[in-house]
Amino acid sequence: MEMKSSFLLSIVTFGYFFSALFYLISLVLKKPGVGRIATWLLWAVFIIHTGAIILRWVESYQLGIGHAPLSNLYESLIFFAWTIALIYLWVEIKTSSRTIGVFATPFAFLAMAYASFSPNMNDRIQPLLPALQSNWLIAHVITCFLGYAAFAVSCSLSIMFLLKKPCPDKNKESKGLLSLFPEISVLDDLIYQTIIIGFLLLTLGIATGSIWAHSAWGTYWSWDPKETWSLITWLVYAALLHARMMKGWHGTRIAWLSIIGFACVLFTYFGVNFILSGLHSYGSA
Amino acid sequence: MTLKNPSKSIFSEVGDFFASVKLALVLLIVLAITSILGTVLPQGEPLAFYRRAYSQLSAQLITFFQLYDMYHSWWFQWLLFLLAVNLIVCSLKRFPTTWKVIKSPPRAISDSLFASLPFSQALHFSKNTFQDQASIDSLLGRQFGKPLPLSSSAGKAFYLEKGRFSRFGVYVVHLSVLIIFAGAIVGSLFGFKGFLELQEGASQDRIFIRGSQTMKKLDFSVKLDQFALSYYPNGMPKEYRSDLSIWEKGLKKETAVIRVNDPFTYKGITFYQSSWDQYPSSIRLSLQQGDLKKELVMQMDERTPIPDTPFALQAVRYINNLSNMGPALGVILFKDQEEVDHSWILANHPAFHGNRLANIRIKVLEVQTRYVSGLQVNQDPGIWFIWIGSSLMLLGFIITFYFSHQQVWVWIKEKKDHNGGEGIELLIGATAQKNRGALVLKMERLLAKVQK
Repeated sequence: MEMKSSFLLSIVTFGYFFSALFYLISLVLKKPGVGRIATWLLWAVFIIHTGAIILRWVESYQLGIGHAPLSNLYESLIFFAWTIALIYLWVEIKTSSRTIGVFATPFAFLAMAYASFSPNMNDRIQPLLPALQSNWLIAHVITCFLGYAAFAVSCSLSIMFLLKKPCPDKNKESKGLLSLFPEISVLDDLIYQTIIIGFLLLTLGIATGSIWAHSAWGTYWSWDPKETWSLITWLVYAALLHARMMKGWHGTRIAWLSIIGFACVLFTYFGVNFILSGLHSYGSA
Repeated sequence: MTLKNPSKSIFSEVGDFFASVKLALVLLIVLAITSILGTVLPQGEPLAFYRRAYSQLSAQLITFFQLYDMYHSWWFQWLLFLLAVNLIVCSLKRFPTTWKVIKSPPRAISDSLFASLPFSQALHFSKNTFQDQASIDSLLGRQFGKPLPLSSSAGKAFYLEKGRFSRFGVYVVHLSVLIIFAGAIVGSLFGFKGFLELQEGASQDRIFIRGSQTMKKLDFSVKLDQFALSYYPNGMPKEYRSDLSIWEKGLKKETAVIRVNDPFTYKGITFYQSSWDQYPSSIRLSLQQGDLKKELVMQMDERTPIPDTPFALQAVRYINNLSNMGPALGVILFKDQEEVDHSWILANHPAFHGNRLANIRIKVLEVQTRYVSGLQVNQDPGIWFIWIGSSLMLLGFIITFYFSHQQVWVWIKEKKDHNGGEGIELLIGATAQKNRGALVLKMERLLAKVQK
């Protein structure tokens, strides 16, 4: 059965690509007009993306299956891209700077591209296995992926910070690309802001996951590799927050820790499925 | 080098070590790095497995450091214990200071106060503006609560603040971690994780305790009245369901249906649908040797003679799906008590050439099966600690991250303006316990509006 949501999602994939491209062109050629197009395009793509997710949900009911589109790797990638766009748009509104888009929107495009073009990806709407039939699934997936997306944006900001840091603008008229980046202090603050959002949501994601595991298997924590890697991620960000709040770490060191933290996120999300094995085995689906 | 304060005892030095942020950072990072080990190395295998799979030295290290179950190993538990000590000592050490700050009145107005604040700015206005509380309140955009008058050496002074309680946030977070630890300890001391396999129709009052060879007797028995499984049209499993009844002293006390994600609790003991299996009970075969045709009914694992022949058959295994060929029965053929042949007989492919033992063709006519339901049987009195701890942690994070104790001092003094006219000077200073940069930006934005 050909589905409308699949068609919309392929538009979304290209939409993120062009949006990322326009953000880049706007930065490199210093054309604010192109940047405005990038923002408008991103909003449009985000709305279509939202519609496509809702449509896929509706379609699953039409197929008589009926569950939220958050049940396998394909659907999680689609949702991950959506959360990255959401968090980035919030940052853009907050900072009114479009340069961050150059680094954040490619993550949304990559997640969509991976979902769409990977040969082993199962994009069919399938019914839920007994273990997945829980409302906690929705809470768990939404909180985890919003958290992951916040960490992705924080990682983009950290890369920008590290690029900008060694060459501070000697004068305001400096024409370098880096002069268009937000101020070092603004980037530093945004890295922190996005990390606390991510940390809060990751904690909520781990908690909802334990409640679910407790009702499905009778144990809230079983040291399964996915759980353990989410804890490792949590510990890295907890260390980062202590270093920043109690030791006054700022800037470069925090930016590196945030990149290491996001590497842990990526490993929790992908590495565990493809390299390790455990309860969260949707990678093989 | 300065001399150490002689009054500082060894105890307070040890205390300082356990209270230090450095120790917390080291522990968090060491826990993160060591946790990787248990995700790479297979956990919970018998020791023989590690001896076979790894070199002798590695196997010795794995045994010594208990890496076969590293999250419960002595050194990992020690790290967690150290983290708990670190949390307790640092919280106890810092709390009195926090309490004093929370209880203490605002710092008195003086020039040195304003010099020490991360934000301070002087504004000049004509006389008779900004004299009362309401005007101060509106000047600061009603962002900091009610202005309170402060005594001052000259002019008038006000103090505003918000988020005093947020100083407790960090203690809420630390307490929540300790509550979660306590829950895990209570669960492992007073709870159990067991397993029970029940055939349809069977009842049992003993369960296997996981991780040990012991059994535990329950003060009631559980009967599996029925097990059912259903599939979606595409063949994916849809539901595993066990209908249970609880019996005490020969009386049926309760019935319950459990499914995956839908457990049932009786007297604090919870039953979870965990696995299932299917055992063949009675098997009916058709045998053909040349022109001779016979039917044979036999029970699983029982050697059954084929009448009027020196042969006997024994079915030893039944599996639901052999290499995608459907159900298959493992059968051994005996002649005069000696094994002469064995093979898988494919039940759904009667014409399959391999469905024979020696020169006897075998067809499976019927296999009656009985379901076995595997139940996880747990008792965890620590679970509420976990849920309360998790909720407190989230509350603590919100307080810590999104609230800050912000304090503002306003000092209004009469001062001649640069033309020599009557005027006032408004000294505004502010500080925040956390995220001072954000407060400075906020103050600058608020005051920029006024100056325009």
